[in-house]
Amino acid sequence: MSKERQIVIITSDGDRFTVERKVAEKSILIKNMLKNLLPPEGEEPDSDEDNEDNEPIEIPTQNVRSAVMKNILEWCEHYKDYNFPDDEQDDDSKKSAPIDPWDSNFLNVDQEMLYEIILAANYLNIKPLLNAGCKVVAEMIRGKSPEEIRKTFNIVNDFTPEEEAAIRRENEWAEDR
Amino acid sequence: MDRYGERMVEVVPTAPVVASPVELSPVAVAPSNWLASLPTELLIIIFSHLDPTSLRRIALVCKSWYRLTCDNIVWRQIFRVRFPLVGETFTSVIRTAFWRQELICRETLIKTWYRGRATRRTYTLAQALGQVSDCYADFLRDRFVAFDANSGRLAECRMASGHGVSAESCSIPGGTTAYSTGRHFFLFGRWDGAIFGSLVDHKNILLNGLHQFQPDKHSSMVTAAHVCPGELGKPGYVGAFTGDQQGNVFGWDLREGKCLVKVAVNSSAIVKISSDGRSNLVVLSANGDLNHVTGSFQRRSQTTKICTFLTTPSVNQANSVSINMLVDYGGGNVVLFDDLKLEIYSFVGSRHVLQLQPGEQIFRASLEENQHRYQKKDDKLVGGDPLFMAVLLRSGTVLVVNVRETEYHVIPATRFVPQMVGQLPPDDTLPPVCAVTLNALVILVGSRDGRVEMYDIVTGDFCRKVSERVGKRILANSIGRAESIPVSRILIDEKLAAGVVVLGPIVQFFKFGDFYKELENGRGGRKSYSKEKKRSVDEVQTRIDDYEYQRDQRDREYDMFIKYNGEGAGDDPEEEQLELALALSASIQDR
Repeated sequence: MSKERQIVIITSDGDRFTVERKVAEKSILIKNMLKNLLPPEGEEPDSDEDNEDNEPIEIPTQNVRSAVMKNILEWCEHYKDYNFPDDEQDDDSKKSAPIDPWDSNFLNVDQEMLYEIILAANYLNIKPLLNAGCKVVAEMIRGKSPEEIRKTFNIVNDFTPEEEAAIRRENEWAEDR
Repeated sequence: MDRYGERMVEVVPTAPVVASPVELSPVAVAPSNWLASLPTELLIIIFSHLDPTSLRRIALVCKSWYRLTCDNIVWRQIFRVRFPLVGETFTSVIRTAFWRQELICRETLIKTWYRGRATRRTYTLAQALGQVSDCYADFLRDRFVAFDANSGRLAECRMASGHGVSAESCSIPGGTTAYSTGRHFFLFGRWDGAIFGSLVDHKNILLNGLHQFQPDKHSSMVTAAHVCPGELGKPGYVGAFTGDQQGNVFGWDLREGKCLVKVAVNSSAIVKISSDGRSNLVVLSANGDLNHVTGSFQRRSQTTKICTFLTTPSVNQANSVSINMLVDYGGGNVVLFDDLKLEIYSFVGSRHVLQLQPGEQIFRASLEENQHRYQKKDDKLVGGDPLFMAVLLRSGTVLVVNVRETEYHVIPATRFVPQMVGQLPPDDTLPPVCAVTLNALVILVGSRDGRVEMYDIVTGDFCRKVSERVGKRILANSIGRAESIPVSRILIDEKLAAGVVVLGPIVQFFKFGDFYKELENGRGGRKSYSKEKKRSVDEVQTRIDDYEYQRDQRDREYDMFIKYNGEGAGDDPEEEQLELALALSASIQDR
């Protein structure tokens, strides 16, 4: 059996990352692309494609810059042997479960990077990473007052005091409980 | 303003629940307010991880988020991501059409019910009565009323503490053949057709004693009685119905003791009556006919119409006494069940049958502990406004069934075997699980040896222990022996996450979370409590205020049926119930 073809991910700023297929396939987007380009893993490629074997497969990701991609690939590398359940239906309890410590440490980055990781995870369709990222953001919102939330995330308060009071009143049904 | 309006239009369209890759313009740097500018589908995922308090607050952060909180479709998606197992059909905890409200309230309630700190208090009413056969719990006013049908005694106490027990004797008239109790009124019907009533006010004093309703009376034996929920409406409202052996049903104004409605429903004896006190009256006769009478029972001028006529093929003269009836007024369904089958008849004439596995026998069934069954079915509500019922099998298995199911074969939404079943030795007289109650979130089951456990209504998973076995000393003081006794009744209040477990004359009060503590300390909750309390008091005066009625009536009739069969009659000094059962059976055999 011939050597597995190389997979090269090219980022928006032109950096090239050579990765294992297993790692790249954590991204459902890339997995689906590869499905069209390559025979399933472990199968002998067709003989007439042999001459292309040594040419690496290039996957351009225009939306992700290399600093972000480096992080994403680190995450994929860490989880390359872990199979996430396909079906997310059975994780009702997982919703309230705390974030995995490794993820939490991994995502302990500045807000800008977190934002880009979330967008990239969404674009590359890596659901567990996307969920972990969203959980981290939820943790940042949790327990904060609206004013603190605005401060943390640089959101401008665009309410007039009257509007704010009106919304507070509107929200009273919930405060009552 | 415009800027946000514009963006909302762009963002709102129904994004898929699960984020799919979207094309983004090449982004190099995060905008300073990056969080507020995330696509809606990502915000949905973030919000689905938030707690109720934070969910409330996000409306106040900025205009675009405020607009998001007003978007029902977005909240529906957040709800789906947060509760993937709840499915399409579920009971809305606050009867709302808004997913955000539902999500926040459900999450808050789940937190209290599942993880709220438990407080329990066990006390006995043995000094006042022999056992509790009917009971009413007013959670907001901390009041518990119990009635012992055998001795005719009535006891009242503070529900949370068991203090301040006061007892009254209610002297059941001799020759009573049917009776019914409501929260504020007790009604007795005699063999000669006379009707007696007794008002119980909120301090539980029998006002003006027992009096006979004049001048109207039935011309034959009274065979069924029903006090409607919200029985003490205004004068001129029908508060109770009685039925006699000749198939006539009378509706009574309980304030003045006058007969307002007289309907000749059937030619055979009336076995069961049920009414919401507003416009529906459901009557089951000994020949198996099920009649639905509509009328306006809350007006001075009463009009009635027997509008549906159903013949129930599975009910016949031989077993009509043992049939139990539960009515879902809002959805227009009548549930009839006995040991072997459970059928649902709708007011419009369709019939649905619960699928049981071979050999399974029904022991009990209860409807959800809330007002949903009295309120017209509203398809706009989140979850489609079903009405769930817990069916308890003799084997101990619990089924959750949607009474408003539209298929002919009704398949249980959930089926589970409580843990306690395996821990109890087999016994022929009582099934391992002998009491059940449910609300929108959880099912509580009570065992033969006096324990109560809580299970999730969707998955049937064990959640927590609700109560432990009663202490030996209390048992010895109450029933003279130290052996455990079965749970006979569980009453719960969904919003307060509190409840009462009744075992013979013993009462266990439990609560999860700190609602009552806030109340006692006069902190925090007081404002909303006093508002609620006022609302509750108002309701008592004017509105339907009875969670318990159907179940109490059924339980009582089940006891009666046991007695009718000769079981347990020996230890019962009071013979009225037996008399009723014998008289009924005689009347049926005569035909």
